[in-house]
Amino acid sequence: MARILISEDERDIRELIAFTLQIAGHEVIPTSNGEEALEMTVKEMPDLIILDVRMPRISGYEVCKQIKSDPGTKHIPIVFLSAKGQDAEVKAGLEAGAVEYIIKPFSPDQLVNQIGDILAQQYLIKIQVTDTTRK
Amino acid sequence: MFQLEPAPLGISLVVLGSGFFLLTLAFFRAAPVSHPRLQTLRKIPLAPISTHDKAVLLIEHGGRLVYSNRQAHEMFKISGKEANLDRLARRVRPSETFLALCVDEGKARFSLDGGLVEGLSYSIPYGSERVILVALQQLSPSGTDPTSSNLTQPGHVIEGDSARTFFQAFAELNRTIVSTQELESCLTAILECIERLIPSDFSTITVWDEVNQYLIPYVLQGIPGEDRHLEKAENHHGLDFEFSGYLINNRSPLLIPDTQASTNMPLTPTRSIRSINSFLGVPMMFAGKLVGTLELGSSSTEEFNKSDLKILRLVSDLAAVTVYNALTFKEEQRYGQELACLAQLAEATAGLQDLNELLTQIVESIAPLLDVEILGFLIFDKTRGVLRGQCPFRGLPVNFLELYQIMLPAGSPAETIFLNQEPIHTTNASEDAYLNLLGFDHVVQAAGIQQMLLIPLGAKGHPLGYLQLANKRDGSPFTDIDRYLGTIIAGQVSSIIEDAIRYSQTNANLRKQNNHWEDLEHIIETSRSRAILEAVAEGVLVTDPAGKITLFNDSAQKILNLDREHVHGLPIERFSGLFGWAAHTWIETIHKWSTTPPTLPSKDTYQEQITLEDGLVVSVNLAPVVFRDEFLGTVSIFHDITHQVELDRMKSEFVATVSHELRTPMTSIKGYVEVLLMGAAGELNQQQLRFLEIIKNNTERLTVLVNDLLDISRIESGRVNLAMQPLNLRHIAEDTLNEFRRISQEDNRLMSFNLDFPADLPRVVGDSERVNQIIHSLLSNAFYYTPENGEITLRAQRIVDEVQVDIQDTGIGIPITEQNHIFERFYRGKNPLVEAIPGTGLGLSIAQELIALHQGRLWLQSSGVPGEGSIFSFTLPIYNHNHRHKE
Repeated sequence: MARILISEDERDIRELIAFTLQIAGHEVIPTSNGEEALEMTVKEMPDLIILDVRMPRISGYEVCKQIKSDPGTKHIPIVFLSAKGQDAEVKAGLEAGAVEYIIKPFSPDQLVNQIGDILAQQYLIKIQVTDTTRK
Repeated sequence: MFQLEPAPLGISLVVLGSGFFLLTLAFFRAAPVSHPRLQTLRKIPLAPISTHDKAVLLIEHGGRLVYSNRQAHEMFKISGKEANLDRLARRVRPSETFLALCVDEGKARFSLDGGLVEGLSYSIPYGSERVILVALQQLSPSGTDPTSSNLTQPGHVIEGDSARTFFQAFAELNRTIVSTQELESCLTAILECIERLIPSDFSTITVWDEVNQYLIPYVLQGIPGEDRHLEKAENHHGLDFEFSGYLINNRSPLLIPDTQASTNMPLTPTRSIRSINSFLGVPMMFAGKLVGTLELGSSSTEEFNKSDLKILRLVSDLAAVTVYNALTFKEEQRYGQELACLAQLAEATAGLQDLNELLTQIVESIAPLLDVEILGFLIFDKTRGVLRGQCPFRGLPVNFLELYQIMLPAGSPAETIFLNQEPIHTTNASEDAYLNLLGFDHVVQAAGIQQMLLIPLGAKGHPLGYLQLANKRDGSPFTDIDRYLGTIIAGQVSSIIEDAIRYSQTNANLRKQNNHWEDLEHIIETSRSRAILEAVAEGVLVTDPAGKITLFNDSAQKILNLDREHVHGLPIERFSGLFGWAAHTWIETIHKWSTTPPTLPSKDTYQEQITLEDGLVVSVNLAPVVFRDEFLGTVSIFHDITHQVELDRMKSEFVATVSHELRTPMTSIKGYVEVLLMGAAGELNQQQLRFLEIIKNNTERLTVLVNDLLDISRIESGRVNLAMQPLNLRHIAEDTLNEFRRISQEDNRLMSFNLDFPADLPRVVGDSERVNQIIHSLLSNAFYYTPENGEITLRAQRIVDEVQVDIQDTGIGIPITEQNHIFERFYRGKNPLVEAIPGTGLGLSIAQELIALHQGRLWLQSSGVPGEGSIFSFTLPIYNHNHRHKE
C-alpha cells in the first residue's frame, strides 16, 4: 500500500504503530529519533511520515520544519502522534506543516483509518495532477 | 604703715584729748558747721588748733566735717560757713586722694589750686567713737608760681599720688569697658570715673542721636560709693541748647570759670543753667564723628581749671570709643533681635488659621521688638463697618476690648481716612484732630494714650485694619525706625491675618459643605488609620486627586524597594521608569483618572501583574477613591506574588509532565489491547475478548480522567485561553449528536435523538473547541445515564441577548438532595446505576467552569423520579458588534 516512516523514541509504542500499520498492509520504516528520521526520509522517500513531538535532541516540530523546507521532501504528508495535547502544542504542530495531529493514547483502528484517509487524499491529488498533465 | 608723729604738728594730743572729751555731746549733736553750738566750742581748749600754722580738719566718722581752722579756710579759699568735705574735696586734684585721707589714717600729696599740698591724718579716739584729724601743709605755693609746680604745665598734668589715682580710675574705666558692651554700664563707668577725677555739682554724659539730631543726656543718681543708677534725662539737647549746643557745633571743648563774669559766653544763660557758675565740657569724637559730650557744672565759680580740662579730654577720648562701640553693639543687637523676632513671627504664624490663636502668636512675637505699653490689632468688620480691637491687646484689659469699637460709617470722613491706608503718627493723641476725626478720642482718653502709631494692615489693596502701637515705655516719641519696623511687621502679617479672617468667616460654611478631600486626608492622616494602613502586609500607595503620592506604607517600601522619603508628595508619573514598562498601564490609569476622574458611580478597577527589574512579580490592584460623588484620589494595593507565580509555573509544568508520562504507558496499553481485540495477533476466545474489553474500557476511563485533570488544572491556574469567535451552535450540536448516534449504534444501545433548533437562531460567541467540549460532556451524561430506547433532545432558543440550550433526557434523573452537589468536583451520584457507569465526577464541574468563562450559566431541572429524566440548560451570549470590537 504505502511506505510509512515512523519516528518514535518509545520502543513499545513504535512497535505498536509499526504492527498496526503493517497489519493494515503498509510498509513501515521505523526510526527512534529526529536525526535518524531526517536521514531516512531523504534516503527512503516515504509516502507518509508519523512523528512523535517529544524526542531526544531534535524535536518532532523541528524535524517537520526541516522536511517541509526541503524542496525534495516537502510534498510528503506528516502526521504528529503525540502525548502533548494542549491547544498550543497542536497548533504548533499544524503550523510546522503537519496535515494531522493525533493525541495519544490513540486507537490503532482509528489510526489506520486516519492514515488511510490522508493517503487516499494524497493519492487523489496525485491522480488529479497526473490527469491534468496528461491532458 | 604710717606712724603716728604728733611732734611735727606741735599739738599736744593729751590736751586735745581732754578738750575733746569735754565736747562729746556737742560734737555728736553738731549739725552744720555753722551751728551756734559749735561756735561756742571754739572758745574752749581748741584755740591752739585754730591758730595752728597748719590747716586742720576734723572729720567725723561718716564723712561729716565737724571742724576746720582758719588756715584751712585760707588754703581752700572758702569761708567757714561754706566749709564741708564735699566742697573741699572738689578743690583738690585728685579729690579721691584727699577724701581717702579724710576717712583713714595716712599720708598723701595732692594739688590744690596748682600748688602741692601734703596731708597727714590721724584717727583719734573720741569717746566710744573715733574722729579723723587731717593736717595739711602747703609744700609749694599755688598756681601763681609756675616754676614751682609742674601741675599746670602741659604734659605734666598729674604726678605722684594724683597720677596714681588718675591711672587707677582710668584703669577701672578701661576694665569696665572691656567687660561690657552694654551702653548703660559704659556710661555709668565713664561718669563714675569723671566723678573720681574731677568733682563737680553736675556731671552729665550725653549721647548723640544721629537720626533725630539731638543729644540724650545721662546722669548718675544716688549716693556716691553706694547705690548708683544711671538716669536718662527726659529732655533732649538740641543743636541750639546752651553749652551743649556750643560743644556740638564747634566740636571743641568749653571751659567757663565764671558764667556770670564771662564776656565771651557762647550763649545767653537760660533758666536751667542759671545755677551753673562754672562749666567744663568736651565733645566726644570718634573717627571724626560726634559721639556725644561730657559736661561738668558747678554752682561755684572757678571750679574747673585747665588741668581739669586736660583730664576730661583724656577721659573723653576713651569714652568716645566706648560709647561708639556700645551704640554700635546696641544697634547690632537690636537688628539681630528684629531679625530673630521676624523669623519667629513667620515661623509661629505659619499654618495657623484660627484668628485668635494667630493674633496671640503675632502679638507675642512682635512685643519684644517694640518697647511700647499698648500693642495690638484693630480689624475692620466689613459687614458692620466697625474697627474692632482684637484680643489679645497688650496693655488693654479684655473688658475694655469689648468696648474698643470704632464706627466707620460709609461715606464718613473716618471711613475715608481708614480707606486711605496711611500710617497715623501722633505725639499728642488727645489733641490730635485726625484721630478725633477717626473716632479714637474716647479710646485715647480711656487708655491714657499719648504717643500713638497706627500702621495700616492691608492685603491685595483692600484695607484690613491697623496695627496699633502706643506709649513707648521710655516715654520718647516714635522714631522713623519704629515706623519702619511697624510697616515691615504689618506687611508680613497682613496676608496671614486676611487668610485667618477669611478662614474663620467661611469655616462654618466649609464644615457644612462636606469638604471631602479634607475628610479623606483627615482619614489618612489620623494616626489610627495610618497605623492600620502601615500594618497591612500588602503595599498601599495612595495618590491625591492630582496624582501625587500621599501615602506609601511600610510594605510598599519593602515590596517596591523604594524609600518613602523618595516618593512622598511626588507625582506618580515620576516612577514609571522605576517600575519598568509593565507598570506603564497602571501609572497611565492613575494619570488618566487624575486628569479626567471616573464618572460615578464607578466600578472601575484595574489589576495588573508587574515584573520588577529585580525579578520580583507584584500584583497591583488599583481603584479610584470616590466619596459622596467626589473623586478623592486612587488607592493601589501591591502584593508580592513572586512565590505564587513560581509555584504556579511549577504546578503546571508538573501536571503537563505527569499527564504526558501517564499518556505514554496508556498509549501502549490501549493500543495493544485494541490490536489484540482486532484479532491481529491471532484468534481469541470469548472470555479473552471479554477481559480485553474490560481492560480497554478502564483505559478509556483513565484517558478521560487524565484529560479532565489537565482541564481542571488549566482552569484553576486561569490558563484556559479562549479563542472567542462567532459560532453556529446548530452545527456543533448536530456533529455531537451524530457522534452519539454512531456510538449508540456501535454499542447497540438504541436511543432516539432529537434536534430542536430554530432556523433563525443567532450565532453565539465562544471558543469552538470548548463549546464542543461542553455539549459533548452534557450529551455524554444524558446518553450514559439514559437506559436503552430512551429519548435525548437537544433544544435551543433565543432569550433576550442569550441563547439557551437544553439537553433533555429520559434517564434516571437526579435526586433533589443531590442536585446541590452535582457540580462539585469528583462528586458522583449515590445511585448504583450511576456507579456502574464509568466517570470521574469532573465533567459537570469542568463544564460549569467553562460556561462561566463564556459569561454563561449552567443549571439543571430534574424531578429526581427515574424515567422522568433531567434537563441540563446552559446559556451563551449572542454574538454582536460589541464582541467584534472587543476582538
